Amino acid sequence: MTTRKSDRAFVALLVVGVACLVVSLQVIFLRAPIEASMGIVQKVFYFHVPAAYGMYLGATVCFAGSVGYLSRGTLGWDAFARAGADVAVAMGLMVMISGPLWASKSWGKYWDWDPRLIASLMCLMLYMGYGVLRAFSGSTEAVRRFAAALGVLSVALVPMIHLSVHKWGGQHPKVISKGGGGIHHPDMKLALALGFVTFTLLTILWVWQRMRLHQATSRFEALEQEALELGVAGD
Amino acid sequence: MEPINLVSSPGPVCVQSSLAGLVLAGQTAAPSPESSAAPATRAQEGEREQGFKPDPGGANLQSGELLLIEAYAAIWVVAFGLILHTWRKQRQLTARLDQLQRDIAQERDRGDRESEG
Repeated sequence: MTTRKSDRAFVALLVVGVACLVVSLQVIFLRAPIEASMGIVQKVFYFHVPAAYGMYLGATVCFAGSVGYLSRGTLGWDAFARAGADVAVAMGLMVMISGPLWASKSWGKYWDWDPRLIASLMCLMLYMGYGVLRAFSGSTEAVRRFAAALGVLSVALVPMIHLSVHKWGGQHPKVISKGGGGIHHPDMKLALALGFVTFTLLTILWVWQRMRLHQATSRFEALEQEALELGVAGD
Repeated sequence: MEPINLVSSPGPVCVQSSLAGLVLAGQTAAPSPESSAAPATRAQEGEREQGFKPDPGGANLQSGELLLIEAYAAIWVVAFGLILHTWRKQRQLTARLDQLQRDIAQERDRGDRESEG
């Protein structure tokens, strides 16, 4: 795809994403009914769950990029992995902030040492660690390979988060997963479905944008190094 | 403890003193059957006054609307934070690119001058 076509596709996706976001917010706040036992705070669920799904997607992208880099060794795959980790951190932060705010009303406390909460926190910290490693360790081949190995290993936490609530119990609700209570109103289902669509688009847009940035940075650094070796660049 | 003499307490202050006196006098004059357990009860009361204990129904006092707004605001802050971070990185990259362009132009000028000389 040429740069111009790629830019157009990005803008088109951005327009669709923003439209989905607006419709999603409209459905969540003006159409979906207030939940009977929890009240209005339950509406956090419509963005909290899709954000968790976005974190899974980000982690999967990081894994795919890491595998690609380890097998092919190209900077494009490395940029893809980095972008995935960035998105996993952003989405993970959304989950870890919105969840406790809901819990304070529902459980009477912000945090509980629940298996799903612990696994989610560990996942977030791992991808934050990945980001810190990339930000402060330079961009040598060794760092890229080490980060790729970390990206491959970190993805193991994703199924662990998902299965934790079934395997180890805990307080965390399992509304939409197997054995959960389910959603009993079509507008509630619509709000959640729109949340998933919006966060999928948001994830794609962010991964795309961050990947382009990381790719451009890598290419520039290589060019800068070459210029230094030729004695062109001053410092 | 001696009870306060109600008769000898003149003026407006005496009303408060009198009430306090009545309470104290009651405690002193008519000891309850549980008087042996009184120090323990007082110690418990002292603890209750000095320590903080949660209200079991406290979560109901929190505003669901406020928590919802906080949650959505946090999501927006994170989203715009990532966009801002990307924008800053792009600006830094542009600045470094401009510097490299200037360096290359300077080097080219110097090469031209040397070839002319």
